[in-house]
Amino acid sequence: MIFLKLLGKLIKALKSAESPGQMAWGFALGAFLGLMPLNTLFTLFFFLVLFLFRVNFASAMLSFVLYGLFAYALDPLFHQLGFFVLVNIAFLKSFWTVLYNVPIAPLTRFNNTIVMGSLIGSFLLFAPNYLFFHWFVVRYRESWNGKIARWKIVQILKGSKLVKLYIKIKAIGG
Amino acid sequence: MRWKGLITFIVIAGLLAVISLFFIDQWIESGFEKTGQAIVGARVEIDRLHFSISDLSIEWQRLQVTDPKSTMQNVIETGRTAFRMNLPALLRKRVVIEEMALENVRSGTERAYDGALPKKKKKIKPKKPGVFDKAKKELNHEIDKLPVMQFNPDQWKQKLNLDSLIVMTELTMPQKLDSARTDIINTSESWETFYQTFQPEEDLEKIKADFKDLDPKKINTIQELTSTLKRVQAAQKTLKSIQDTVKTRRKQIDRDFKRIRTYAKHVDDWYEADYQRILHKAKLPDLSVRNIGMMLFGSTLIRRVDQYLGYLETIRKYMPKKSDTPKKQKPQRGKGQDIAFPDKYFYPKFLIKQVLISGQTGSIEKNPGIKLRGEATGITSQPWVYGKPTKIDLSGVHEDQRSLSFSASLDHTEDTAKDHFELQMESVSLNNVNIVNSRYLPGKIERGRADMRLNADFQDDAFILNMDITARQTRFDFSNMAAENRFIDIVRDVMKGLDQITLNTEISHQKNQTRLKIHSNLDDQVSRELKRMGSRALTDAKNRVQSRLTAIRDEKMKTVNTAYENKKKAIVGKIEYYEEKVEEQRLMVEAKIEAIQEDIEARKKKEEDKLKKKAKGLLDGVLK
Repeated sequence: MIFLKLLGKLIKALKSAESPGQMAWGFALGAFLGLMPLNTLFTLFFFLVLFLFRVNFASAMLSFVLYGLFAYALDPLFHQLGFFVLVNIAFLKSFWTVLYNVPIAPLTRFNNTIVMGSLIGSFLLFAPNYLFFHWFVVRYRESWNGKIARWKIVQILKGSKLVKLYIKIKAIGG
Repeated sequence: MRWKGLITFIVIAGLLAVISLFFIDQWIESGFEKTGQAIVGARVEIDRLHFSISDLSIEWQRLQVTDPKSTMQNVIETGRTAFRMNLPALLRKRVVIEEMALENVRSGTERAYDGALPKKKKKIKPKKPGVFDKAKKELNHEIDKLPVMQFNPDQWKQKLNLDSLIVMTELTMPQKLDSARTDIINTSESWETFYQTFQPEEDLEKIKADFKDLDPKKINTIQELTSTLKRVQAAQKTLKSIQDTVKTRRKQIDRDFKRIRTYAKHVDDWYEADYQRILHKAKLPDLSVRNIGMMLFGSTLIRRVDQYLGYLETIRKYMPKKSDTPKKQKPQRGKGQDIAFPDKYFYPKFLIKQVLISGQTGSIEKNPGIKLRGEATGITSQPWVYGKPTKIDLSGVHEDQRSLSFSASLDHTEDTAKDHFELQMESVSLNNVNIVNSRYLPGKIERGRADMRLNADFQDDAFILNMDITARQTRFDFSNMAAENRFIDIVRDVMKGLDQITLNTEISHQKNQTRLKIHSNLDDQVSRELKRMGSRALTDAKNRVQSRLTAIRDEKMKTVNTAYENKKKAIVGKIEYYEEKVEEQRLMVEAKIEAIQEDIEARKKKEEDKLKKKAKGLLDGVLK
């Protein structure tokens, strides 16, 4: 239900006046939450950013879920990348050491190979994510909106009892 | 900026914090229990844990750790425990506990219900044998291979056929001594060949003849003297060349005979090897003092030490070794690897600076054990960060004079892990103690007391363990010791007659080799009795082997020594003769050269004076 609700909100946002930039920011930030382990202070930080700034929450959650599905498969790669950055780059060692001794900073688990690897991975994907989703929103609004509504799968979904039930409940709840 | 968003965030975060406050005690309790269960392999239970966020303190009323080997009792049970965590360390994700008090610690307490964990159908991976497993296996192997374990007194009573034994054994000592003699002869022959080609006598005689009667005074002119000097110097060169050859060869001769002499050093080893080979062929058991102690107590002690090694292994398992550069691991999916960096506050990931322990051994109130008191300091997951070894000191005394003390020092602060353990128990009751089933030992100790001292030192995988036991006022139950043979009778009689039995055990493990040494006062007694009761046959048999082998050795050594002395005398004698002759001629030639040079100088001076006088006379005539 939550997923359907999010999907509904996203479609609503795609059709709304919300700027493509806000939606793209949300998608790019959501990737951090999806790729990084949740039991770190980074999670709190990125949620704070999502709540504080005018970015689209639904696109952030979509990105969170989508990237969350890939994160597990990317773990070995993030581990390798994180290990390389934390151990093998000599000039960064003093910086990590300072950070390791600063209060609160270790609670971010920056010294964990997967946390560091996924953080770097998310940063690397930030610009492509933003540009891709910006382009997607613009294209959707310009030409895909009508076409997608005619897709059989969308028709089936709309006609399904579950979705109807959801719409009813939603209507009752106001 | 979205203020509504910020308020939503604060509300959600606040709600989560409040919910956490309600459930945090249960979460921490469950976390501790699960971690404990993962380590112990049986149920770990904490009662009424309370976490106070204001002063970061944790307190619980009771902790029960089930004994995984007997799940209806606890291996450890504690009463109230309280500790406080260090805030600056916690903010750096390190758990540092300054002081912890473990009160009313008991072992072996009964459980209200079974503490076994539900069995998981897990594919059990074959465990890679550790150093302790290897050590145990090797110790058992050492016991098994002892000749006395196959002890058969009838065998060595049989008449020994030495001649056939020696033929069968294929002795190596005579062969090696023959080789030594051949080496002496071959070496000498090569020197004799050299002497055939090296004959400086003619040159030495010629030099002697040419210059012996040379008198510079009898030579008329300086030119003649100079030419004579040149001839003598040429002879000196010839002598130098001969002398160099003699010196070089002398060194080689000395080297050769020194090498030959080394054979003598090995003779005893060759002898011992052949002796042992004959004993092996003859199947004569080596009933040395050490082996009797080993045979009697070996397997019992192995089991006991195995148990202690197991405890020490568990303690050491949770003390990691220092590692400066993190090694890349293959972590569990989603977990990653935590990289540690230098900590300027010396906060390890986990540290309990001091644990005050009080409690008692034994479980039943009616039969309380020794009341123990002590402390453990520096319990940490990263000793190299903390920089101090972990130390444990526990001691206690009972009213009935029983006492126990345990101390340990686990130093994992450097690259080489050094651990020391010491356990001392005094006046331990031996009443109704069962002994491991052995046909050489009584089945049970009916009565007695014992003092025990155990020292163990570990350095990485190597260790040395000493265990001394003194049993006093013992009375044994010999009913299971059937009178199978004389040897068992002797053991029984000796054990009955002794006031106290001492056992000194040393087990060492280094470079994959384990050695076990056991000495007992029973050794001497049993040996004496063995001799008295008729082991003379065995001793006689050994003496006969030794005499025969000694005769073979002496005979061979005689020929080797004769060859050595004769050849050495001839070869060294000749080179010494040349050294003497060359030296004699050298001194004579050097003296002649000196005399000629002095004469030349004197004559030159005389001529100069004459010329000066003549020149003066001429000048005087001109000036007048």
